[in-house]
Amino acid sequence: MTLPPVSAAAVRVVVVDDHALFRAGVKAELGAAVQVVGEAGTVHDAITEVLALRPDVVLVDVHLPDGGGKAIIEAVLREWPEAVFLALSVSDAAEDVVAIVRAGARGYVTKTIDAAGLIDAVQRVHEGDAVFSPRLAGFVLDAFSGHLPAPSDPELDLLTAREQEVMRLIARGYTYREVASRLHLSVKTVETHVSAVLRKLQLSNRHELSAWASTRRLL
Amino acid sequence: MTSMRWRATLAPMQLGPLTFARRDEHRLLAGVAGGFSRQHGADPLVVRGALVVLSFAAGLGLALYAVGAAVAEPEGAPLPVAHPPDTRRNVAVAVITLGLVLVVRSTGVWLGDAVMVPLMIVVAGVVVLGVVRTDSGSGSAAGSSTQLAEVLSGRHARARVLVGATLVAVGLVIVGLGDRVSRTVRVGVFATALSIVGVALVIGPWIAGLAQAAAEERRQRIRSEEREAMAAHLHDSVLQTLALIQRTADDPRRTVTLARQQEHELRAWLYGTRAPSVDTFGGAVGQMAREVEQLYDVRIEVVVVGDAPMDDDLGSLCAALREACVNSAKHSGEESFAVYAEIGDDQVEAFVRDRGQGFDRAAARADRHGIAQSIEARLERSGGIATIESEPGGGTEVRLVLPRASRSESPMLP
Repeated sequence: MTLPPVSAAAVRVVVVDDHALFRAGVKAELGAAVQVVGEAGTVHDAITEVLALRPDVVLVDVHLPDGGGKAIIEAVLREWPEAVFLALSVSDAAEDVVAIVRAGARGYVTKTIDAAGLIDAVQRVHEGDAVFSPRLAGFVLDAFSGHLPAPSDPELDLLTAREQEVMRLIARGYTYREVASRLHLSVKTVETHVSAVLRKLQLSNRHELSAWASTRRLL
Repeated sequence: MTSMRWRATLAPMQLGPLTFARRDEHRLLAGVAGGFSRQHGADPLVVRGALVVLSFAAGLGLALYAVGAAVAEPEGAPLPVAHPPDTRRNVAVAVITLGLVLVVRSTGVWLGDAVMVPLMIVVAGVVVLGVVRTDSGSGSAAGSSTQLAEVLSGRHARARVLVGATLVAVGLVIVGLGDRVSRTVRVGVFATALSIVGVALVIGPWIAGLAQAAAEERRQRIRSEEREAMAAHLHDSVLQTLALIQRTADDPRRTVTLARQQEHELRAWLYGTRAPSVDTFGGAVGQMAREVEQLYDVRIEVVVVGDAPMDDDLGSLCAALREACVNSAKHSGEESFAVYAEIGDDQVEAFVRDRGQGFDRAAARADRHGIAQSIEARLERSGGIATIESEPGGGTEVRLVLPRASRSESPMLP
């Protein structure tokens, strides 16, 4: 993976998860590459902690006892709209993923991700990019597929041919760099496409998206 | 709108065969009313009310009951579908009853309006008070305490009790004020009515409390049953796996495999309302990947977009996909790789991609029977194409394409 020009150690992270064991694991895994400045185990603690510490990236668990990652993201973004969230989950259920991304997370990874992948994902969202797992790319392709009725706002409700191509390759397991070389694009262009898709996923009003997410449970 | 609804429900409204079986559970006498109502979709209480009213009409109700008991199949006889209770059928039974009453009245074998009119109103009141199941759905035999709870706490409970009580009261008042009724009867009726009101006022709150307690108890029972089921499941799955993992702590790969299997299983149990179905292509691909994961200790990231019911061609595509997965698992040297399948209107496309050591096809052709036989030949028989991109050190990607020209309208699953 390409290392960002800024020193990687500069990325300050708060880890939010209700399992202390998991927080400790993440802390150990992130190691020297990322600086874990705080942790929280509840929605309330997380909001105060994040607003006080103003970290670069918040790693947030999708499932928490009192409201989940969604509640944290919404509360923090109201106070501090520049906050950057990367969602971690064990579930991979479509409705969870879509809900957390629509709440404002810049990316989504599963907890089974390896250390290098997690560090890369943290750095990527810190640089302003979106992080799409193959699973999330599959959800997006499914949700925006042409089988649904005519979109009300083509700007937000349809993927361009290029965006579809990028999503397909990510779903097939390609990294951004591999996507770039396959499509003869720069990595930056690929990142731009992914960010555009993230925006559509967050802002599209097509109700099929939520209906789809709640009826379909891909595992 | 209304007519649409009527038409839509007309088909299942066709009368089934007139036969019915006497019912054993919750029967009052021989189970005739219960059996009849189960078979024909009326509320048992309505049927019983009709029989009571008709019994006063020249004993017609008793006669009908006897005939019913004689012609009914014995208990437990196999029967066509049971109808759930249905308001229109209840109304039908009531109307038929009224018609029969009028017929009997015109024949002259009649106790007199002074008795029959109030009687019918009282019976109607009792039926309205008691009919709960038509608006609470299934109509399955609930215990009497919960039935009581539903009467008192149901959605339309208050309105129902009010209407029923009014009907009963009106019936009694008509008897009480009737010209042809003797003074003694009148006093008796009023005394009875007053006693009923008094008793209701005294024991009403107690019964309501009882009903609430019963409902609460039922909730508790459901909760504890749920908890027991969960404990049993966790014991059979998660705890067993954890015990196994403790014993294989010195074999990391085995530990990972165990943990992953358990993860899949638990996840399917927690989030899968339906069991992973192999009737659809998506389900079959997921199942196939899990099998390969377990056989070869690898991790496969599966992404499926769209879905379609399984057929023979999709079956061979899935088999070819499995072969490609097995190849990646055995030869790539990587512990994880990706499967992606997209079901479109005119074709199904599937990919297996690993970042492993790859191979030179020209050199490997001779000894790689798997690819030639299982993947390419299998797919070509179904009219599909397999392409393999690989270079030594650069990973391998197998692409399988199956046209779906014959199915112009693709049944997308929701």
